[in-house]
Amino acid sequence: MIEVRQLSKTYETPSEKLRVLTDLDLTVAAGETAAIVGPSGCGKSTLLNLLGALDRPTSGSVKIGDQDISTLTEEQAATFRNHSLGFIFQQQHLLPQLTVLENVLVPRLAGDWQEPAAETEQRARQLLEKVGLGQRLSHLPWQLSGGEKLRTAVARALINRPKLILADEPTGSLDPASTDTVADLLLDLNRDQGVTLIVVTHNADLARRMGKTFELRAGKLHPLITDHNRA
Amino acid sequence: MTARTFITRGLRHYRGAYLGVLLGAALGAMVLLGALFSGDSVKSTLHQIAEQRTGKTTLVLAGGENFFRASLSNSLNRSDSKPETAPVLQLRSQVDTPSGRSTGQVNLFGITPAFWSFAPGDTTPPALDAKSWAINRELARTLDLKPGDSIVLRLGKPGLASRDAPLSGEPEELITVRGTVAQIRDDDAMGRFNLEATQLPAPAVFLPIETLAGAIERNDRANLLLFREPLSTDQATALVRKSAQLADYGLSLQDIPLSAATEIRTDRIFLPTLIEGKLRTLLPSARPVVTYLANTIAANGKETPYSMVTGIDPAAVDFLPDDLAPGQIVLNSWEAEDLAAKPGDTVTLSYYTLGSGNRLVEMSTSLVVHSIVPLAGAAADKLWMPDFPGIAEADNSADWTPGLPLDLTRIREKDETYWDDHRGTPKAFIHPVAAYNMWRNRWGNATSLRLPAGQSDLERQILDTLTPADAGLLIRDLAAESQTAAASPVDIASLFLSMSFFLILAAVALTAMLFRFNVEQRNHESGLLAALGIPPKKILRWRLLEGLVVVTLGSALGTLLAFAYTRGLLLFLESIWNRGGDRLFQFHAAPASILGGLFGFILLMMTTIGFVTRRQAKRSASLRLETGTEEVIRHGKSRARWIAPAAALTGLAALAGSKAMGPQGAFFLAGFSFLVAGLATFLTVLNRSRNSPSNSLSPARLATLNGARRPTRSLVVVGSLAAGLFLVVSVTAFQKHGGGEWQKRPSGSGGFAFWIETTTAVHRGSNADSTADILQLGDQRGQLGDILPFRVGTGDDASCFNLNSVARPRLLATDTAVLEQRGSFTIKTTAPGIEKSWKSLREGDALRAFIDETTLLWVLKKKPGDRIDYTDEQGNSFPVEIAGTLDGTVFQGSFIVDEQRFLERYPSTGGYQLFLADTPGDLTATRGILQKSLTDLGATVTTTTDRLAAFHSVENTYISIFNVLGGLGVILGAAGLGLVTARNLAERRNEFTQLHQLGISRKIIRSLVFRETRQFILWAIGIGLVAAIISILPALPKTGLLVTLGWIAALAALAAMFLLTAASCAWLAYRKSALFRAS
Repeated sequence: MIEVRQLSKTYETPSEKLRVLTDLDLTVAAGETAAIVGPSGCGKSTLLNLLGALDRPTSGSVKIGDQDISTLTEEQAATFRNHSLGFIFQQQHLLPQLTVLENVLVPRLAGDWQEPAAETEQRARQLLEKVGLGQRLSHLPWQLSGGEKLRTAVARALINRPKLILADEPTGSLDPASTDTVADLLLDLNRDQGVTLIVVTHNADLARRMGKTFELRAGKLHPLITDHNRA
Repeated sequence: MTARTFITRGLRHYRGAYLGVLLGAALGAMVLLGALFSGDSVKSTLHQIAEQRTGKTTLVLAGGENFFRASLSNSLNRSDSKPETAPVLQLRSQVDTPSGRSTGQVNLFGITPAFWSFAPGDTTPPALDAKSWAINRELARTLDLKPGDSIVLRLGKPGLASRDAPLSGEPEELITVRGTVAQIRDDDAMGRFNLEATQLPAPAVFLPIETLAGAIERNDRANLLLFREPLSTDQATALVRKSAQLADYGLSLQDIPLSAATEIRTDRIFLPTLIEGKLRTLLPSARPVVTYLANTIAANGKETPYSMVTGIDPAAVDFLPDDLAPGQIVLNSWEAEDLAAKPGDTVTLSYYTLGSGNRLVEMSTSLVVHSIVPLAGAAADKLWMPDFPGIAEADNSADWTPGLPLDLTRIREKDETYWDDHRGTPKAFIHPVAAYNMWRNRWGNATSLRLPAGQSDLERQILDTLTPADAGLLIRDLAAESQTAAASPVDIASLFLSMSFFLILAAVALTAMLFRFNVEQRNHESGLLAALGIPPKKILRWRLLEGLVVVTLGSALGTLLAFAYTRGLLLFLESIWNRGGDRLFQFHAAPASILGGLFGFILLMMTTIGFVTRRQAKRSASLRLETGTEEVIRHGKSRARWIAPAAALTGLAALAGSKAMGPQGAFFLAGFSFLVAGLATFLTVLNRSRNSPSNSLSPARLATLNGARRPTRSLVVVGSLAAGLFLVVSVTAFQKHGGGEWQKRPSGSGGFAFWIETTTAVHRGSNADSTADILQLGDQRGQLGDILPFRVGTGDDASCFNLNSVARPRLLATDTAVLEQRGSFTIKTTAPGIEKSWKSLREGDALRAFIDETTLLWVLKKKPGDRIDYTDEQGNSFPVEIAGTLDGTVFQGSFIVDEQRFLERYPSTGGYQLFLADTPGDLTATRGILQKSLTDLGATVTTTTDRLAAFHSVENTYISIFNVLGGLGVILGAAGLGLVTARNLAERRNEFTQLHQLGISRKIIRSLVFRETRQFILWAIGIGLVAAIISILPALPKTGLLVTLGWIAALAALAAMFLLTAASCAWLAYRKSALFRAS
């Protein structure tokens, strides 16, 4: 499913070139779950952005399925994200002007979805029902708790029926109880729908619940545990 | 959810942020559309005035001082084509009221009821009679008149011929006519009727033509004939020729029974040369007759005073010898006896002719007596003398008033007896060549043409030969002239657009900056949308669509505001071009201006917004998700460090080449270059401070770093403020002062203290040195020094007081030798090959003229050496060559030409109506005395200082408008600074909280923010002032260094105050709302 080879990313700074990722390799099979851990500033989010085609690598390749996303144009990358990926951010980035339901429907705005709008909306409602927000459809983000916001973001990440979900510190701003709820939700999705899940996290408990855990150190990934504690 | 819902939600949610964008767009649109609407209003007003001024008149037959029959109109109406016409007798008058109010330069229109049918609006004719007249609103306003009030007209009686012509009679006393105001005519009811192209209403009185003609003893006379039909000038000429009679050409036929002859006579004393030439070609047997007054005929120590002498071809009369030579004279028996003269004796004739400067000069010629003829038969015919005014009707010789300085005490008893018995029978006859040589003048050569009696259909032949133009009756296409004139030389729309340029720019920049704030604020949203797979172009399109909605709404609001704003601008314009009374300018907004202006502004806004948003959109989604509102700065060396020296060098080059480029072009290029140089320096300093690591962190360093944190915002703020300051300061430096040095002859006053315009033309009078007391001040003459009279010729006022487009400026003719001797005025430039001297106006093939540089550049849009075609008295086109320019004189709007050269083209122009005079006394006191003494002439006495100040006030009003708009720009810039400060503070809420948590006091945080703001202010003031001062350096010596520097200091202080206030407001607003709440 995911095959990353010789991936490098370098940033320009006023004084020097900052090399964040160096010849990084990663393989995650379809339906697997993986956690990426590491100290702050080690390049976890950079890796996630590269995996999500939000950024371009300095060198190397990122293959998701049969597609090398490092060679996509900006427009192609957007289409790829819109059709194949789900993103979950620590800050959730819910749009404050939209209701919960509308926030979930935002990916549809890309405009080239085959599915009729009414069906998508129906699915959005079902997803929100599933994440426990069935009574909050017309609420605005400021009316939600942190956990509810995250669950909305999860529903939004699933609306396009993604094959891969990339989550960046999804539980970073949640209390332990909510963290567990969200972790359950993500793993349920993985199990029920066969979605591949890659989570960048500092949370050791969450990392442990993933099938694989990698530590990002000195620009490279180091496997810590393989296929353990699957929930 | 659709994209439309998404956009609508975005607009609603961010309405607070968009309010600024909306207001900014509204302001920009208001200013831009206001400029366009002002242009529309002025244009529409001028066209409306043009329509009111001429009514339904298409063509006009204009005679000026040449009168034709008022009944010519009836003759035309009886013709086959029956054109609708109305005769008008137009004169100028002073109008007095019983309460002592008085005004000059009033148009008197002697009219028939047909005149009112030419009104564009109300055509109901008022009931007028000999004592009940109509007046227009302007006169009613000026003299505070209402129906029922009495008025007195005081006017000079026009002469048969030019009062300047010899034997044209004595200038008569002013005549007064009393009447009552029966009605006040509105502008659209012919109240504004005027042939002069001006936006200002001229005071006017309308009375029956027979009343006015009777008052000046010219019954059935008119000098205007209005046509209503859309005829061509050729068609109208043909119609007039068909219906004209000899009287319309000032001609008549006189039977001379004693000589079995017929004479073609003129009522203008001398037969115009053109008419004489045409008639002699038509009638080869016609012989010119020249009868003239000899002051003295002397011989053998004896002399006869004041006798008529006739020049006639000896072959044309029986009693003269065929061999009479030009050097010989034939005396009648009475004269021969009086002088005891016999054939072969030498006789001296003395007589007056006109010398230079229209002065009478007594000349004398010696002739040899050929023979003596008896005072009988044709030699004793009284009809040899035409009806000279002041002579023909006199009972006694001693009562003659021929308009020449005669010593009537010389008239003896026997002379009176001769007059009683023989009237003006010539006492001597000479050869016509001798008569031509002695007495020909600019009005003509002969007093009549004599031809054998019995010419068949003579009158018809003459009428078929002559054209109205031969007699100075010109057909003008008034409708076309007035519409052309209504196209103002000042394009108000462009003027205001250029004056509002900075304000519009500031509004656009500020609005775009606010929009960018909004986009930055939504960076996370954009990043998220990108992450969710919304294509970047789509996100950009949504942002732009939101912008378009807000900008369109703002522009629509701006359009509404522009209606009020334009009215404000029009009030400014009123202060220049209206002299009180009714509102001059009517608001008008052309649909093309509304749509074009709106579309143009929205396009400008959207292009700017598109530019700033595109830059944002180019950033990667991940970056936007990470950075939020922070500006991403490109690292590496900035191009700004190269721009600064390059721009400064360009500015210096512009200043060095100001002569070649022209001062205005050099000023703007230099100013722009120095502004760019200053801003590039500012940017370089920001970059350096950011890129130079420092070991110590002081509040000053932190403030500098904060300023450099969002360089685009900093640049927009400093740029807006600096440009605003630059404009206000530099334009203020161009304010005109001065006029106080009128005594200096090279100055714009020419060393003259007064500019005197009279309603009644002043003629040379009977004094040979006519200009000594030309204004007939008598005892008060000592109040004035030199008096320089000017003839006022054809053309319109092209000064900055006239909004109409003037193709031919008014000709002012004077004795240029006097200006040369005095060294008055400064000739600034001349055309190649023309000497920089007043003398040059007396040279060249064309009529040369000097004109004020301002008029040449801005109104005529011509250059020295160009020529403008004028029409002379006979309707012939001739060129006036612009010989050179004068430097800021009282003559603004007129061509100054040499009097003698002028009279070659306009010989009939009678008298002077403009005078420049200097004074040894106090200006105010002398002006009062003069105004009182010159009441009868309907004079307006203005000091040259006031006249120059009035011209300056127009330019200064423009500058004031510029300053107000520039000042608004500075306020807008200050508002921008306030917004940026508030925005920066809001975005850095956490940063301040952290500083506070770190134990840094509020006082230090406050000082930090003030330092940041202060650096913007100081940079802006520095860049703006330095650019302004360097750019205006070439203009400083003229405008007065101290005055200018004083202004600059005052403005800089004002600007600094504004800015500090703006920053303080921002601080206070923020402090209240966010900063310490967060902490």
